[in-house]
Amino acid sequence: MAFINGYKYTTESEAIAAQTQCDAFYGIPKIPTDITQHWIDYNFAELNEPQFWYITFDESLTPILGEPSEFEVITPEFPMQ
Amino acid sequence: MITSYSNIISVTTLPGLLLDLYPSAAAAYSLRKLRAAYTGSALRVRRSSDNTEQNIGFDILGNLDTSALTTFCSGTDGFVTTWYDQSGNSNNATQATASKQPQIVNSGIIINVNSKPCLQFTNSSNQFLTNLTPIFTFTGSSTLFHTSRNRNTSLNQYGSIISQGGTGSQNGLGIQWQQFYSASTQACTDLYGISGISTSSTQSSNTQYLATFQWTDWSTHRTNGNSIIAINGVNQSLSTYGVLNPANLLANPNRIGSFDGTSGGGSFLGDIQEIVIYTNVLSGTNIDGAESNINSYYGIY
Repeated sequence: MAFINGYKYTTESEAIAAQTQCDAFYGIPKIPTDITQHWIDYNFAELNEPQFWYITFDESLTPILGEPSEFEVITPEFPMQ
Repeated sequence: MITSYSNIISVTTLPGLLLDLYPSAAAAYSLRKLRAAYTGSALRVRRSSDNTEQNIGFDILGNLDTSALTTFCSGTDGFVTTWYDQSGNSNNATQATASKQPQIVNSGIIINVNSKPCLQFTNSSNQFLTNLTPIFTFTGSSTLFHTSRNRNTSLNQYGSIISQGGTGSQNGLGIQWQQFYSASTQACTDLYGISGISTSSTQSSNTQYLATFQWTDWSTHRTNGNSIIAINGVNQSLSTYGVLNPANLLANPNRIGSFDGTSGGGSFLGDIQEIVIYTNVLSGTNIDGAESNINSYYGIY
């Protein structure tokens, strides 16, 4: 379980729309053949019930997506020695 | 006196390049030139001022062309979109998302470790580069060298230098630093699910190291004597854990700087300067020679 500060979406299309807004705001990609195609990524909280999509907060996102909120994401435990 | 073009070529030939001395690497990422015949760039960099990208190559001495990099990123930040594979196998590692690209220039200043440029990874942003063609086959043997500095100082944290197959299901190889003894010390490990090998000794955090791995036989790599982890050229005593062997990881990508590119697990907080991977065993003499070559350049120990 991890507490994420970010933006939560109930559908993937909503997350993609938010990603597209950020890309447009920052002019990404600069040219279509650039390696850089997006400003931010979105993630899928596949272990949560109900499942959702989210974007982790970054200060650069505030002008586009507004203030973030905190929510829980279930993440797999990584085995330590 | 230079009397022909062949003389000119011989004058500019760089002696002692790592992959000329120890060829047939499966993948080789570095901020110095590793092979005379390699004509490509070292990196592709995005500058934050206008998001323009540009390839950055080497100077005539085989160092990263810091002059070109500084000019391109004058007064701004530079992030790595591509770390080119110099082995000739086109295992280039890329990151298409700006917020996940490791940094190499900060406000016009190239980020260094021990006076040599590095890629700086921040775990809070889960920065990493991906090569979609898996390098490790988990059959036979492999040898790997990495030059890195782990800046994490939190207990029970792990940061992958390079991984393969890491997913939310926890299965995957992760060549990494782990803080499982204390916050200020770290062990060097490989990992597959709940099994792997690690150094019994610990090293200091916030310190640049050369780590060498050699797996003589992947199917028995946890058997005492079948694997080597050396730190700064000194073989370490190893601990083994778990019961599984690497398998079924062939269709998954390599990641530099992260174990699981989705959940952020195993994100590396630190700096990487070089990763060289062979899918064969190097003799003891050749390992010593490669370590000496790397250390001579980076001045690690």
